[in-house]
Amino acid sequence: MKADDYTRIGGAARRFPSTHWTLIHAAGPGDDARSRRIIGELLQDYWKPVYCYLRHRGHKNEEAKDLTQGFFQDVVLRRDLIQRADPQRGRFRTLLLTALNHYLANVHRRQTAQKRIPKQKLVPLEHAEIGELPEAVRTIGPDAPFQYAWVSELLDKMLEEVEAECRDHGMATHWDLFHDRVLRPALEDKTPPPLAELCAKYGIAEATKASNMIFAVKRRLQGALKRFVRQSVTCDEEISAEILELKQFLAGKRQCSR
Amino acid sequence: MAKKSTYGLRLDQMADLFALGADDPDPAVGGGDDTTLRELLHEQLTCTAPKGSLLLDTLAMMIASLEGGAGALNDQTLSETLLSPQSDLSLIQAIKDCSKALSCTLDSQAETALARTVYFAAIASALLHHDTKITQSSYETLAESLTMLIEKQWMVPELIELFMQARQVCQRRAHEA
Repeated sequence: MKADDYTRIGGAARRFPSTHWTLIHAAGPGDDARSRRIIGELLQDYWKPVYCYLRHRGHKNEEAKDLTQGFFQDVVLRRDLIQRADPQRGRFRTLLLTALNHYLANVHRRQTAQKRIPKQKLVPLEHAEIGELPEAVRTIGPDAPFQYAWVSELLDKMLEEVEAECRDHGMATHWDLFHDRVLRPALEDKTPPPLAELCAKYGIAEATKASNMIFAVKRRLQGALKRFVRQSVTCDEEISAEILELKQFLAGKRQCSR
Repeated sequence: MAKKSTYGLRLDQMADLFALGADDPDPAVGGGDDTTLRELLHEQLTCTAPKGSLLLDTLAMMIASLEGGAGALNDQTLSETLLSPQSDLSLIQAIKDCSKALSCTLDSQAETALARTVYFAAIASALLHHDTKITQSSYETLAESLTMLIEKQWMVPELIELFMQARQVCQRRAHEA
């Protein structure tokens, strides 16, 4: 597969699925524009877990941003960190965290990312301020902030993709109904509004039709989550195990490092 | 509509959202996912508020559209309604009719199975608590249907008991006929 043939999973423009392993191996020295693009892709997906982990390790905001930039530059451009790792032995997020810990052990914090990395190679870290990490997450283990942010990104992407899909395929009302009945109550920790109220709001005559519309959205969410999880594992067979591991993490179970 | 990130949610909130994508929205009926189905059924039977109980909410909406049905299921769980001798027979009848209609129109196989279970639970309740058969099925046929439900690996204990008692009534009535 050529590096230029890859694309991110999700959205109307998808061509064929790629994983983050293939992205990294597609990057290489000598082509700054391509490397920058690949780093941009990886940064978009993984900056938050890395950044959150660094913040909770005690690094201040600007330092954490510098380290995040530097980590992706070095991890991708130096490649030897990835080349030494065996993709058959672990999930991508586990490798990333291991590589991050190695990186932190080696980096010289006196030099900022802007000094070490030429300006044209920097990838903009566009983000809103990171919210507060739930206290319960800190008690799970030292890697928990990373895992938490990872799951959060996964969920945000899953929801965003399915909403876009619904709106692109004439299912906007399906999404809006699902949002009001399931998603918003979950996000805001509130009781869902009665179905009758929502049916009146969206002009849905029958209760079963509304129920079926919500079911259809849930089906799409299942597909989207699997696609996104697939990006970070090495084969389809690992998807279920990865999902189970993430579920266990969310249940507050301490995870063994792999 | 403004997008809100999941970052910052409690772990249990995150877990619920993750389950939306991680759990099969239609666990296979008879496909071995008995635990999930049993949990779904238990949830439908024991919820009052709409939270997590779309099936109950759908049923309540259908019943409310019937004459005199508005608010009929308020403040009571399906379990309480179906298992109580004090429940109004007309409400039991409404639950039976609406759950039957639901079971014919839902896309989800799992929810269809749950709706059919509620349908038979209403019939069993009417038979046991009101000595009234609210179905045109014969006592023999009804006894067979109840036996099939009793034997489902995902059936909840409180309904198994109801079905067993109703089956005894059916078998006795069939014998007397």
